[in-house]
Amino acid sequence: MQTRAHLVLALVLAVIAAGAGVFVARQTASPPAGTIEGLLWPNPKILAPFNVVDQNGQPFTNDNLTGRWSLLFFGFTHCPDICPVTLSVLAQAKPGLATAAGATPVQIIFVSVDPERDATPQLAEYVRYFDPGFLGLGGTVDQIRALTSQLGVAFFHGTPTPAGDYSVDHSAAVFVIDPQARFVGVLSAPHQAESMTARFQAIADFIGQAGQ
Amino acid sequence: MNIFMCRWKKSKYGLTFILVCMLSSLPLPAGAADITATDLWISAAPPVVRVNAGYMKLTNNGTDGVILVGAESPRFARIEMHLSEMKSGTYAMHRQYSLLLEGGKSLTFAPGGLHLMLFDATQSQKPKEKIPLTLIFADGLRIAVKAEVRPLQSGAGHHNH
Repeated sequence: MQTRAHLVLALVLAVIAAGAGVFVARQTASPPAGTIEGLLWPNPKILAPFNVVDQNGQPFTNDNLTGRWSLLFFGFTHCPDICPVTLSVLAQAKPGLATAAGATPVQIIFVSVDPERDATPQLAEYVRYFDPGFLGLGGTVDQIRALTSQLGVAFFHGTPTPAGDYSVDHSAAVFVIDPQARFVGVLSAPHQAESMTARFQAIADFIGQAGQ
Repeated sequence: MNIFMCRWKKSKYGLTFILVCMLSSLPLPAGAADITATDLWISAAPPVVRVNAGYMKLTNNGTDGVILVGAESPRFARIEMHLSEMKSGTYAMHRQYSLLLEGGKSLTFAPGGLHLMLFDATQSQKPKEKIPLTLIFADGLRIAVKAEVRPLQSGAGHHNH
């Protein structure tokens, strides 16, 4: 009888422990996907092959997105206001983004939507100015479009002035690619380092905890 | 107010302009000396870029409105006024040919909004350097100011304070 009583007690304790475990797990797990701002879930987009050129003239493909988080911003170096502002915010946010991603590296990428004017050496000097670790991507317009079209990034070249200057309208958001090279999030503008980091952390935590 | 303008021009450009000032003192535009430009700064940028942005707070302490039509600087080939705007998730820049500054009101040029677009620097800017600019108004008023070169974050941060 005593053995049986012990068995019942053990069972009761096991049930309580299991319940507590579920409770704790629920408390620490990410909130539901639908409540995470900017998260594209379920069915994140797996990027089709693209091939652009980095600031050192080296090819940059889907392979360069795997094994790390990537945050992409699309702009052009002749953009005096929004692009430097956004790149400065990204530089400011970089340490926090790295912390949020844990052991997985984070790369921050500026993609030129004006590759005719943004030659590779120019792009290198431009991105390095904001942070030595930033990447700059260029290539031909067709190469860039192979990437932008997949992310829903819009850009339109304006009519040139008599002086030959033109502006480029472009998407304001920062696009998040996960370590499996899937398009999983959009950090919408206006950009501010703390809120950007918090939104990225929520997305990274969700993807990480979901074991996806 | 005219005396203020004369003094200012004298200190800036010397004797030649005293005469100009005296000649122009009668038709001096309404509210001319009531315009103040504060917190002027130019965002530091890598030398490789052809365009910079300038920011400021323009205040009209008078009662009559004035119209800002542009700016010029010996340090830039040309200056335009632009407004950055986000519509449906897309940023665009719209050139502003004139900006009305009503009496008793301010106009703020700040990152992500109105800015002076500075084309083709004649020489690179150094941090904390004061760059001369002249603000040009529709009524002929010209105001000489100086804008400090600041890194974007500190400049923007300063502005937000």
